[in-house]
Parts: sequence; structure tokens; C-alpha cells
Amino acid sequence: MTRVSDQPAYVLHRRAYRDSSQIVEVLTRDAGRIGLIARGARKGRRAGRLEPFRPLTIGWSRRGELGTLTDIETPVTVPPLSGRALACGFYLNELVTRLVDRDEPLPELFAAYAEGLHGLLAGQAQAPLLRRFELRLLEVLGYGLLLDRDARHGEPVQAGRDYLYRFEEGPVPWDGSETGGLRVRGETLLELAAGRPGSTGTLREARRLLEWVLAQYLGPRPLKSRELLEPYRRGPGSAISST
Amino acid sequence: MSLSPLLESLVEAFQGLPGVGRKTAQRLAMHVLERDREGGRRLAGALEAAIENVGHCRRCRNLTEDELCPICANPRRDREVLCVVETPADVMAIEQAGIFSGVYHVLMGHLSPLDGIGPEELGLGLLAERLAGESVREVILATNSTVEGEATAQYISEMAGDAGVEVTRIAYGIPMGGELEYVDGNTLTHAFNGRRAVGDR
Ligand SMILES: [Zn+2]
Repeated sequence: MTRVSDQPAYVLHRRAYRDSSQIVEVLTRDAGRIGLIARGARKGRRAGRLEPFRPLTIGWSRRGELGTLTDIETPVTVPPLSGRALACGFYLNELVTRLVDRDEPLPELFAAYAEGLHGLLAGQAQAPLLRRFELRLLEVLGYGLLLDRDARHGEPVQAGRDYLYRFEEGPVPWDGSETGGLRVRGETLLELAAGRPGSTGTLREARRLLEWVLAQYLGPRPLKSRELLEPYRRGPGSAISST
Repeated sequence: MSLSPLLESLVEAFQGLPGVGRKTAQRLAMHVLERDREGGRRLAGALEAAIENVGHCRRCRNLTEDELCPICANPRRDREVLCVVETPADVMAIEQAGIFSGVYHVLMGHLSPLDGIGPEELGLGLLAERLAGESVREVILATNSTVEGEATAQYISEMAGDAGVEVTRIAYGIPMGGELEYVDGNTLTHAFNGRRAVGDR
């Protein structure tokens, strides 16, 4: 039996378990993504303490696949996410639960996730924030994208030129063929590499590239949380947002 | 101690109910068999009949054995005010508090992308049809104050906004994460009276 205490964590998902308990999927700083049983979590004083998107400090004991939550603290109070930022939060959680296996300690992922949520709460532009998170997630998982150099000759990627992005290889100069990759502009790749995607309106292309790469790892089942972003995208001025 | 097969299966059946452990299940079984066989027969009949016949209201999806539930069928209910809730238990809680005279729409759940439940799986098309086809003036969003309830409320508020309907959200006097079903009548009354317009985000 292992016991852990005072571990920074975020709830990614929870589902009802028996009468009043929950099985909670959490992202912890040092233990990665783990599953915990939270007894009596749906009623009484503990109800609502296990909501996603809140910084928590938790403790648990564990013997098998699922641990038991023993302690929850909310070290700081943050306002709840709302509107489009809330839908983006679900998107982060879905990405992590779909792509990250349980029990893989990934402290860098925890930092990236915390930073992403913080940005959403602070009202940062959402599309670039999501792209940065996607890039870091891929990197942490060992699928980091080559963005600033040509995959064939190692030459620097240039703005104003078109490339064909090959999955798990990188960009090669575009020669008129669309097969075996995705066509992207050099400036899109450079902006992504610099961590500030979208500065000259390349957001839509950046989204398409990341969506295409992620789809290869996610398999045929699409990300459901994308649907929550759809109605917002129809709204006024939203055509350029490319969340 | 081992029970006869029929007795054991009765105990197990009781034990399958929420909040009923082995001990309570045994007590219930003994009670029915030793002291109240008539009551047990009524329970069996009521269960059988309800399971056989109760379905969903054609209009609001609340539980009913008729085509329309008693609330939708009642001409005195205000059809211009539509309260959206997650479950039939929520309807019961609000009806018991006696604070609402409009009609309902029961989602039978909430948006939960991580469980694969998006707008389509939740049947929000039916709600969109109601907003377009009925003369609804105000939609009151009474989904839970969980992140899923909130996301559901926000999605519907966009839908209703598109349909030109005023949207309000009940104001919970309870911390984030509460499920409406567990809220007491008093808090619920405050939540309804203190509802606020949605849309200025
Ligand atoms: Zn009805």
C-alpha cells in the first residue's frame, strides 16, 4: 500500500460510482494521471470539491489499479471557467485523458496544463493557447513536431514558402503534390515554433496542422469537446478565431 | 447462514436499490414476508406496472405513462416559461418547492464530452424544435452547478439566443458542484427568484 499526501492535482473527469461516490481521474504533478475513488463525494460537504479546473492539493492511498482519495484541499480559490473558456477547458481535459496513459509521471505536462488553465482564466486568446498546449503535450509524449527545419536537408524553414508536412517527419519543400502530408506555409510553422501562433492570421492553418497530427494519435473517435466549441464559432466575429 | 434460493434472490433484489446494504435488504425482505405480504404484493404490482408502462413525455421527456405528462397536459401551466433541467428528479424537487408554474424540458443528462455526450447525444435538437415551434418567452436554465451543468447551460443559452428567446440561469446559493436534486426547497426558491439574465459575457 502506498500513501501520498500534499500532491498538487487537477480533476480531469469524474463519474458516479455506487450510491454517492465517484471515480475521479486526476492529473497530479508527480504521479501523472491516476484514478481515485472518492467516497461520498456526491453528497454533503464534500459535494463539488472535486470539480475540474480547480487547483487542488490531494492525498491518497493505493493498493491496486484505483487508489482511494483521502484528502482534498483547495489551496487557492479561482473563479469558475465560463463560456468559451469552459469549453476550451473540457478540450484540454479530453486531450489529456485520451492521449496520456495512467501512471506515467509527466511533471512537464502538469506545468503545461496548469499554465493553460491559468491562461483561460486570465482571458488569454484561446486559439494560440490551445495550439501551444497541443504542441507541448505532443512534445511531452515524445511526439514533438519538427517546425523550424526542413526534414529533408535540415535547412531553416522560410516564411513565404510552402511546405508539405509529413507525419512524424516534418516539413519538406512543397513540390506541387498534396499526397503523404499536409500543405502548410512557412510562416505558420515558424510562428508555432516561436510559441506565438497566429500573429499574422495563420491561426486557422495552425489549427488544421495540429488537428491533423493529433488525429493520427487519437484514432477514429473524434474529440467530443470540439462540438462544444461549434456554436460559439458561428457567432459574430468568430470566423477568425479558429479555436 | 444461508437463505433459501427465493429468499436470497429477494434480498439481492432489495440490495440492488441505491442506499440499501445487505442488512437493510434482509430487514426489508423479512418485513414483507413476515408482516406485510399485502404491501409487498402492492409493491410488486406497482413496480411491474410502472416498468411496463412509464415512458417519456412526447413534449418535455419527463417520465409519464401518457403521451403528455401531467404538467404538459395542464392548461393552467404557463407555456411561455420553459425550465430546462437535467433529470426527472429535478422536476420533482422544483415541483415540491412549489415555486414554478411554467413547463419543463428534461434533458435526461448533461453535456459531458469526456463521456462521449455531445449536443446530439443529449438530444438538444428536440429542445431547438420546441424553441422554434412553441411560443416560449423565457428559458430558465436549471441545470446542475457542476462544470457539465454549466457547459450545458451555456450551450443552450447560445441556442436560445439564436432563437430570440430570453435566457436566465438560476442563481445557486450553494457552492459550485452542487446537484439540484440534493438542494433543499428553501435554497431552490432563492435560486429561482434570484435568476439572472444570461448573455452578457
Ligand atoms: Zn411533459
